Amino acid sequence: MITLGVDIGSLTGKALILKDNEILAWDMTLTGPDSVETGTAVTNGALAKAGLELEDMDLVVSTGYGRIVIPFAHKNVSEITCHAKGANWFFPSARTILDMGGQDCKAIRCDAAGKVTDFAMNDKCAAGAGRSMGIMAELVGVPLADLGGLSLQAQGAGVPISSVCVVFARSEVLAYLRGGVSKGDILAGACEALASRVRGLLKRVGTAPDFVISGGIAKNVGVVRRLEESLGMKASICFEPQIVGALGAAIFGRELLAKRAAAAAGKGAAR
Amino acid sequence: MIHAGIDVGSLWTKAVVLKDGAVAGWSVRPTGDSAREAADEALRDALAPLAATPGDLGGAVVATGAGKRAAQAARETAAEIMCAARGAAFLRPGARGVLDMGGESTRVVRLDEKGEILDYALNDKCAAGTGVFLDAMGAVMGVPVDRMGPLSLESDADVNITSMCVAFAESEVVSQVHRQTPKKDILRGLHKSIATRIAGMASRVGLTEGCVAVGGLALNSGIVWWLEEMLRARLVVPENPQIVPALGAALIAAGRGERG
Amino acid sequence: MRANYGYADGSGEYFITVDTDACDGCGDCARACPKGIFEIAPDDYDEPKARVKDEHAKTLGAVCPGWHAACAAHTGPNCHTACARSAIAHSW
Repeated sequence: MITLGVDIGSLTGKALILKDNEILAWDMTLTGPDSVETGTAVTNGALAKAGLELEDMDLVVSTGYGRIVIPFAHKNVSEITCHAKGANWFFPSARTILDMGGQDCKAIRCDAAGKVTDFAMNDKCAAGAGRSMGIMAELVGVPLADLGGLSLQAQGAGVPISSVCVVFARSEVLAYLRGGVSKGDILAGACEALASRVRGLLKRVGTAPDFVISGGIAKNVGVVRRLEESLGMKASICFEPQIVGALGAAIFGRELLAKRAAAAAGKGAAR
Repeated sequence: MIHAGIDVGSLWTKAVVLKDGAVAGWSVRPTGDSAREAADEALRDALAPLAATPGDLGGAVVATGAGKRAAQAARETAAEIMCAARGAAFLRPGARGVLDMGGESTRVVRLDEKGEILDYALNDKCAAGTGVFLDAMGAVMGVPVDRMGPLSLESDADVNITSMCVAFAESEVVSQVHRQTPKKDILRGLHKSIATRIAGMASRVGLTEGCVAVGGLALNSGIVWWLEEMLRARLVVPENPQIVPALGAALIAAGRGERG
Repeated sequence: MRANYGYADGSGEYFITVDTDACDGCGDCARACPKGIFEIAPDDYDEPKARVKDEHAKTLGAVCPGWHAACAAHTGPNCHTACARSAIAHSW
């Protein structure tokens, strides 16, 4: 059974091909102004890597930001469901999942089968999403990819950033820079500020081990470390945290096909 | 007798001078990096029409706003909500509410028929619905801030800016601009977004007909239009709405002076 | 499943929680809400459930007065009085 999962996020689009229970191939690209184009491009990328055609897919499931309309998808499933399934595939003991992309943050509780029992999502406020890190990196003048590591070089907890709002925090940070505060200390304050937004969201759904982090934020060691410390749980992160959604979509497709096959077999037996 | 009020905002500093209970001079200047200097200069400018200096005030100055403690000439300070209420009630006796829409904060105040405060709501923690939002979008679109309101009113298209958040709205605007959506249509959507934030506060406090709109954003005809739509009530916008809180501060200075 | 729709920003936390295990998709909440915040839509397992519309999730604090005492001050029923299964809760 071969299924394709397509996840179009606000910053990146991902496609993943699952054959039986193995990841065959996957691809990721930046999301352009047209999500259908992005979905097509990234799907073609994954297909090329697998040496397959779209017709070889038994089912195509799409997910992502908003009600995405991918014309070749057979079903569209919520990102919440997909992230839980994907995290559960990598870590069957996962019960609390934090997923953060550029524009949103999701806190998810799931059961042993990867089914969602509780969730909260914030996509309204940039202070609680990856966007805040992009703003800070630009303000302080460091590459986004280095932000987390630099924040760990701070002496202690870094400087406090009292404004929740990133727009208001700008003037605080500019004042720190003018005052000669080190970049490490400022970035430590920024990571701590983001971590505290995340803690609020996690508190809403409650936390229980094991703890999984997915999405771009998993690559920010500064935020990850701070969350682990305050939650008292180690964070499990898979080899490519940004494909968890697409993987979950492909798994959902596989499970749906299995359910349909079982239902059809049941009908056959009843005759 | 002359009295003065200084409103030291995060973005703009305003000063109003009263002589025998009537406005004799006023000024507005950017706060910039030094709130202290801005407060001094604003006061001097407001005193100029009377050919008076801060010394002539004898300390009858009240300061308000985010930077109120930076105003050296002021012996006392007053809360922004009090000043907005006093200023509005002076210009419009019997007004039952005030919408103070500033550069980095929004206040909504409900008043009784005598101008006493019954209830209020304050947002100074989230840039949504504040002047910063407008400034940021104006910069992204290359439209001067004072043109944004009138331009937005020229549109009747339904361009939805789904974010109230400044940072996210910026991205939405950028992609709309890429898609070559007409600027006036984007502006209409932006003004709706700002008004949604403010109207939400207003309906929670329960504002009714004839509220006074003050603060810098009251100068924006697009925001006023959307607010009137959403609140289903007319707003009163005085001339020079951005100095009304400073006027209120000056009135408080006069009131305290009389009480000795 | 407890679905929390809404957000937290500098000014506070605004979440509406729908208990989808209790919800039977009857639609009374959607009809009762004066702001049209709710809709009934098939969930990922194709069962009709109440949810907060996408466009309202981001403006909840501005559009919904919150705990039903505030909403009840306005006229008529609200999502709390309408829901026979007590499936809806507000965080503010």
